[in-house]
Amino acid sequence: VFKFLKRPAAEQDLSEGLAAEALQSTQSDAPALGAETDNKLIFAPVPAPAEPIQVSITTDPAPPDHNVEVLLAAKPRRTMFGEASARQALSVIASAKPGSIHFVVAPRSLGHREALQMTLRDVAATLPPVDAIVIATAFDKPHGLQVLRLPSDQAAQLRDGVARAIEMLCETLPAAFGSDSTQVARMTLDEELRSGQDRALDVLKRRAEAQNIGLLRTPMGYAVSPMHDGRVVQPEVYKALPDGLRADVDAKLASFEAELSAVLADRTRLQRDHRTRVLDLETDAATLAVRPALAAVKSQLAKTDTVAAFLDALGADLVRNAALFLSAQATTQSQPIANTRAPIEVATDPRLARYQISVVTPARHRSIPNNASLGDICGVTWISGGTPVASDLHAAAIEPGALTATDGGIAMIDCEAGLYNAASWLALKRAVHASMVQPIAALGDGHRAAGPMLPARCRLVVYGDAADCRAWHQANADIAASVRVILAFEPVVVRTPETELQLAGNLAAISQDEGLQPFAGKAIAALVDALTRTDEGTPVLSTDLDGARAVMIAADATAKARKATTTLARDIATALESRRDLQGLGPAIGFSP
Amino acid sequence: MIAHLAAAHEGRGRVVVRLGEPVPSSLAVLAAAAHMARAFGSAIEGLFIEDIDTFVAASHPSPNEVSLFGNQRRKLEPQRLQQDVGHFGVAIQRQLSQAAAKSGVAFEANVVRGDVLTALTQACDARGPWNMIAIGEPIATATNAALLSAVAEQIVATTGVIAAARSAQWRSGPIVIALEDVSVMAGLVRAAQRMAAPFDDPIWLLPVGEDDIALDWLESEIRLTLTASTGVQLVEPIARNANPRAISMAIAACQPRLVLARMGGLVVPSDDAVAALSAIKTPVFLVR
Repeated sequence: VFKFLKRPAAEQDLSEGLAAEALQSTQSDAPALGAETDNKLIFAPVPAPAEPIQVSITTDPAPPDHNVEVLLAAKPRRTMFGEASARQALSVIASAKPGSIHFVVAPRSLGHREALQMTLRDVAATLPPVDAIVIATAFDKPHGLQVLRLPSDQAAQLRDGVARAIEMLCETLPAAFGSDSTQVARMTLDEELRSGQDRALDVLKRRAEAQNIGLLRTPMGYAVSPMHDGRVVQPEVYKALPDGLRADVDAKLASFEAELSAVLADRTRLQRDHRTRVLDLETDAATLAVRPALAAVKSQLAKTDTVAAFLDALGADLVRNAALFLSAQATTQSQPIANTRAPIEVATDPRLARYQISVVTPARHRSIPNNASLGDICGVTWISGGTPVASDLHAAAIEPGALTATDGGIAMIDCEAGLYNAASWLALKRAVHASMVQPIAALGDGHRAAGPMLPARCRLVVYGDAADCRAWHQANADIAASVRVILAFEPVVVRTPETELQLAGNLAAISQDEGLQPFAGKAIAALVDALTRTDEGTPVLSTDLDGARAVMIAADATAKARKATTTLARDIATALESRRDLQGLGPAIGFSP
Repeated sequence: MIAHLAAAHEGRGRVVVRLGEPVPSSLAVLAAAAHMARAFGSAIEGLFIEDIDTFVAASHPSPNEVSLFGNQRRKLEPQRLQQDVGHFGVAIQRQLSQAAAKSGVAFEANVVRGDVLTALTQACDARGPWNMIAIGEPIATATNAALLSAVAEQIVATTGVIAAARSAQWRSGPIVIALEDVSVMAGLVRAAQRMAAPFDDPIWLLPVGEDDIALDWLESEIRLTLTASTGVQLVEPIARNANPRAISMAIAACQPRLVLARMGGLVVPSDDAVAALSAIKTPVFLVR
């Protein structure tokens, strides 16, 4: 932490190192802050160690006529030049419609990006809250998922309420199906089918035998044959029968054959009727368990029409698929197992995955990370193993992307972030324009099982510097006309006492943040000069503090390398020189020390 | 009553499984048959009996075969019938051989053409007298039930018949003796002990009576005879007069692995074997 102090002119000729040592020893003799009238700056760490280092320097060229008193009061503070005007400029994003794209022009530096994020977060905070996105199985459709919009608290209630109901059903449904009354009814129905099927055939068989006709079972069906004394008549005996008698037997054979066909065909009807009655029985038993299981969540949420419809469909599906909750009895011959029911793991059992509900609460502001993949942007549908089909989909398999996660808010992306591929940019633009996005399938893009369309009504903010803006517009000519450009931060500000104070506070904050050793006054002066230039006769300061930070760190390292406890101007010069040689000062390289 | 099965090396008996009825075999019966052979150190013979009447019918000038669901008719040709029956026989013998392999008992497959009762009698007479017969098909029709009665009553060289309904399942559980006559209790308990040994199953003794008076007398006789050393557990007795299905359902409630009962008695009446076995839902070893 530093502050600027005025020192007597006599001290200005001292070498920097000597001055530092001298000041350490004469700190108690220092005049009161601001008491002197000449242009001498003293830079010292605050809060002071036991003996704070103070250095007297003279800036060269002579600094503008700034208010020394104000500078002396500088405290470490991370601020951005032009933040207020940037906030005002960016506030238009909040009033823009979802689905709009803005290009925010700002110098490309870490400080500016952080300031931009901070400002956008504040702007996003003014946006009205949006409903949570509820992803659930579409029970009234053959396959797939549906998206409901509910206030966050109701969405959570729905998710948790349904989960509790499913847990309850894991107990109550098997109990309902295993109850004595259900078992007796099922046993009766099964017996009715069995006896109905077999009895009709038995009756026909006995009636046929009474008339010396046999119904014989073959592997592929039934045969009708003349019989005598319980045995099939040999062909030669049959041929030897009188014509009239044989004709009579042939007529009986034809008649019983027709009856046999009718009896066999009737078995299909019996099975159909049996199935219908069993379904009715199972529906009764399942309804008995499902209705109370869903009662709690219905009483909480059924006032909303969409939720009421969803819960009704869920209830009907649970009744229809009650068998999912009943695990089969183990009856293997090799490993006889007791008549036990395997417990159902609600969270992981794939049979119950269709009843999972996923809730996404959109953030009002989010940065899309560098190198974001298509899945990061659009979302991913995770499908495990095999060929994905629509019926495999369930809510827990959907991982929403950044656009859905900022539905109704602001998504920010660096135009040079380097999206994973060109298709990502294309998908991003289209999704924002359409305000909806389809998650990609984890096993391959474009598959039909790629998941439902999710809302993506976000305001997209692309940011970059002026050159980026021109290049981006050329590359995205298809949407350039609809993109609003906002100038958020100027690269330079006029050097005034206020801006000097702000700069001083930022440099102090950098030193504090980076844990650097004390800087001599001339060193700071050199750094300030490096950030200063004259623009049409007016001194201006660069707003890019990334370069200043880099130089301060490099100078600190140089000083430490020569075992100095204070960073001097020559260390700054060395750092600047090396940065220039490497052409790596960034925006600050344009400023001469 | 002798509920015994000769060991394999004796050559005096084995489990003869009747196969050939063109319906799916009862897996529970096949498993029970294999279990019996294992328990007594015996072997299994799959006897596939081709119905001679069907082949005679096929040799008629113009016999028809009606399809299983009555929708189609085609000419019943002896050659194709032979192929169909042959394929079915191989498939059904394979099922039995797998059950035998799982129980680690010797398996033998034989095919004969003729009358079922005659074929079974000849097979048992060839190596007897301590055979057990298992009816491979589920007892689902009156014809099946009649065969069951005939086998139990007429084939001398067998000590009992294993049969089950279509609903029967092979599962772990106690060996349940449904006892109607205390005079056969000792023999049944000894047989049950052999049957329980492979899986160390408990043995439950369920007294069954015509009415409460008969049941009280039977229970008191059992209590006098039964000693603690047999390891047999007496369960609550059941009288038939409570409900026509009371005995079957009481046995089913025990969830037994196997039931030992008398053929033609209260548990499996000759005239109502289908319904009784359906309600028991477990393979039943029937003795005379």
